[in-house]
Amino acid sequence: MPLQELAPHLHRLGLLLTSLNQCQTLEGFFENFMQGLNAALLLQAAPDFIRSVGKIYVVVAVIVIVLLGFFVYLYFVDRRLTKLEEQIQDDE
Amino acid sequence: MKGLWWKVLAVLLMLYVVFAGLLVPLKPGIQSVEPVQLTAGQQQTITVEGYNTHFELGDNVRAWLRLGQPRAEGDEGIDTALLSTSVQVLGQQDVALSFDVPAYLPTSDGAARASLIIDNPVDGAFVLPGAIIIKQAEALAGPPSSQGWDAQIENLSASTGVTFPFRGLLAETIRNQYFHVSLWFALMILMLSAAVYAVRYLISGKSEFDRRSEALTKVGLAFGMLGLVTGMVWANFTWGKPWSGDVKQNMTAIALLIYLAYFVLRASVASDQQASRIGAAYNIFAFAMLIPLLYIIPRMRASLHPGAGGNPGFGGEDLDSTMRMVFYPGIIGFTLVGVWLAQLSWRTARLKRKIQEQLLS
Repeated sequence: MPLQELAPHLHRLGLLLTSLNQCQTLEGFFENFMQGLNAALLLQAAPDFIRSVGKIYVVVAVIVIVLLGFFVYLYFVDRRLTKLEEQIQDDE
Repeated sequence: MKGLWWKVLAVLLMLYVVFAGLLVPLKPGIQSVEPVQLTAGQQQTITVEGYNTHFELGDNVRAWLRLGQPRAEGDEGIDTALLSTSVQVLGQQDVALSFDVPAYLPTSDGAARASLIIDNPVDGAFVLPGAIIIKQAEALAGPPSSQGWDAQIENLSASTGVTFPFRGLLAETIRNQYFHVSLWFALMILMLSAAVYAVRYLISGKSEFDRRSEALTKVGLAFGMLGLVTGMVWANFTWGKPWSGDVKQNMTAIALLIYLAYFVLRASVASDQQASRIGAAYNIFAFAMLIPLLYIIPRMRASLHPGAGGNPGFGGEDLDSTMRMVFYPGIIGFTLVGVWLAQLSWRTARLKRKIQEQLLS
């Protein structure tokens, strides 16, 4: 990948790190990040960056959502097992 | 470590699907053409923006405009194509093509839609169907003529290497076939298994079957929600908004609500055994509703969803043999992960019952 193509990605990463650095609260972080993201989008000539870089981010977003779904499911199973473990311990 | 092999297989398949699904490049294609309208009888230049193209490497770029004339059966036909008079390579992705459009079109319609075909030795040949409209100049009104439209489209180059098809609107999101579509196929297998276990429970009365049925339905519903959300994310960037009331989206939402009601129904019955029996019976009906809602009704109505009209999802450029090499392992991988998640659920439920029995005794 040529360096020019990497530049906007690095720019976004930089914005993310900056907003992480500046914000104490999660809410403030998101607000700051979205502002940064919007600024980054305006910097680029193309109307939407997902189209300009070949929509690959849509695919990445889909994979991330599916993985998050699996983790949420695992979290709920984990919670049920914890409850059962507590029951056994109470019994003993 | 008995019974572990399929979990290892699930992990390996999913890793393969993510790597192959993301890293195999798309075929070269045409992203945009400017202008999209030409007038007959003039020398005109169009600029083309390619996708994954290497115009600078392929030294012999050729381009044709081919009129979309359906050829009559048995008719030898004239190849109504026009070869570009000059090609100016502006970059790897950009090329300017000049066409000397003849004064008369071969049709009497006053306008014709032409496909743009570009060929170079590195990328092979690729086409943007219906890319350009050619209008008959009014000052030059005359009888249709195929004079000048007799260029032969020949000696096309073949692209090498493993690639996925380039479809204009989908572009890179064609890769969602391995993640979003595989997920839905896995959901069908999970829901079918859940219905089979429901039948087996009703026949035998063994509570283990009911636990499995419930767990598989739970994972299936989770997959369905993920499928709906991933579909909405994709729709937002393809159709312009996450929910456009498309028949595929609406019917999917109904199907998921039907399955959601399964859990509401089970929770609302006080007796465990009754909840199991009513739930199992309901599960069979829910599965019977799932198939028409997901696969039959959307095909009877106009839907924007790829593969919604007829069976294009099973042939042609939408799913070629390179895609099958990732798509089918994807279905198996997602199914195995789903069964794994469901197994955790039904083992937990079994454990819960054992503990409750021991506490009572």
